[in-house]
Amino acid sequence: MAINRLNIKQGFKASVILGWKIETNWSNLFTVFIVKCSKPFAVALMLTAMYTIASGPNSNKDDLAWAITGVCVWSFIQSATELYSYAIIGEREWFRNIINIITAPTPLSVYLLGRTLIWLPIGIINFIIIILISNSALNFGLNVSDIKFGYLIISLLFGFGSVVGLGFLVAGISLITPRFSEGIAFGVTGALYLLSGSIIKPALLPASLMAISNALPFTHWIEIIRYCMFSYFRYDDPPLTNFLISSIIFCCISYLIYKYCLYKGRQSGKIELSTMF
Amino acid sequence: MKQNLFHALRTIQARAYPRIIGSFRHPSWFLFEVGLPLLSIVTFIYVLKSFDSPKEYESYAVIGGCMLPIWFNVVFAMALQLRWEKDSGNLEIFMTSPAKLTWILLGMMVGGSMGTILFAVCVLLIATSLFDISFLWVNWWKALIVFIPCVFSLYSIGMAMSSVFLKAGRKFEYYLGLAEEPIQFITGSYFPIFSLNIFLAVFGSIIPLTLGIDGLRQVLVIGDYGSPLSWKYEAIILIIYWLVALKLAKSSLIWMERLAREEGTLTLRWQ
Repeated sequence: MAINRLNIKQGFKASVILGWKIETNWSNLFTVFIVKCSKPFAVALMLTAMYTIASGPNSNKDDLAWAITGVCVWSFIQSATELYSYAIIGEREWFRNIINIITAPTPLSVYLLGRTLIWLPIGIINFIIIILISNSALNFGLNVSDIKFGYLIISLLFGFGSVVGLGFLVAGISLITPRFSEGIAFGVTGALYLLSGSIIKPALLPASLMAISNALPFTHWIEIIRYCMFSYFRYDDPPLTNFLISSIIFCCISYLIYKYCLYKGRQSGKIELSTMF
Repeated sequence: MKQNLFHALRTIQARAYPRIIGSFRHPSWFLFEVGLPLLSIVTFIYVLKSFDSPKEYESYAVIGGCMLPIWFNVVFAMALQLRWEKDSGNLEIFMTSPAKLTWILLGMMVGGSMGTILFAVCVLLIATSLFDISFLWVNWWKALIVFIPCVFSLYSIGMAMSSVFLKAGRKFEYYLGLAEEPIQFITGSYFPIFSLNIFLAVFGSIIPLTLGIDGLRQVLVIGDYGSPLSWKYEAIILIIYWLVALKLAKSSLIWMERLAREEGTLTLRWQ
């Protein structure tokens, strides 16, 4: 047991360093973060452009602030999903190393947690940069004194749990998906973009999609973040209970799916089979 | 001369064939190729709805969203192709075969564009029926005048980029993240970029996708569409773009091949 604990601690530390090296070794740190932060920043610019040239008479700046806050939080989900999926694809298809990782004393889940941890600094930098620039350029009226920091930090931490859960779900599916595993990350992020209430209000969606949206923890998470950041989004109580319940259920289901996929992959004996052309 | 031409055509056909057949090899690929762009279009149409935008903006988003799979195919299946061939060991076979690399890339262009255009049409049909969007289909021939040179110029850029990617090595792949959302912004894929800022639009026109999308919106969307440049001029610019990019692709391939042979890095994998 003592050895196991040591392995988990050392394994996690080693995989964090490895993940950092893999993701940042191709250029200087500034360029790495510019490239990594470009996606949500570009989406924020697109939303601003759409609002500037296409908004109708019934639209106001709160709608844009609503969507841009969603993009800020979305950057955590996007970077984590892509990193978890790419970690599996990279180890299996490019480095051909996944069998060594699975048979190593450190569990694969611990390795994945550490290997992909760079999503956290990327997400935080995205969050701060986008919110600061958009607030100063678009005059959203964000006051530091208005921010509920206690709520914000606690909800961010709980939300990160759901993000990790999503990462394990994507990693599990990628483990048993041949050839097109890269598409899993894009497919999941694309579907969640629509459903998670990040840039689209769930009320606008058809009833069936709205029900799915309300069952996801991310919808409530992003709503709570908006509540914490801007006073004009405090027209209702934050959906804390819904968020906690949906988060716990989502994380449990995601981890079970990940474990099942890992088991199926090992059972079929094809877990290290590189399948991409 | 006749034999050369025959040889070139056979090479193009041989390289195009797996691309066309391969596109339909797995039903899941079709789902991803059509489903992912469709999801983006649906998302941005709902964003437009939440901004209470006029209906024609949804048509603009559909046209831009349908052109994006072509761009992604150019970047990920054309520009990156020689690097993948190098890593999988095929590049040395290509180089030592009597077929010229330019013909092989032309074959990829023909095969890749046919498959992708079909996917783009599927996306267009599904998106228009989902959101009940109408287009001016009587202008189909004008749309083709803009669309064909746009596709050819995009793929010619892909050919030119393939040699740059091959030379630049693995680290250049990381920059491909910039080919997604940032390109969607500067090309005005989901909104008319020329209405936002003319300087940004001119800068975005470095990529022919910007002019292609703008031209298609001019001829297909019902209602007024303000653009400083007529679709006819845009089509002419795209044809010039295509010819220049093709010439550039040929020169860069020769340059890359010579340099790589001299440095001995042509078949060196994982670099």
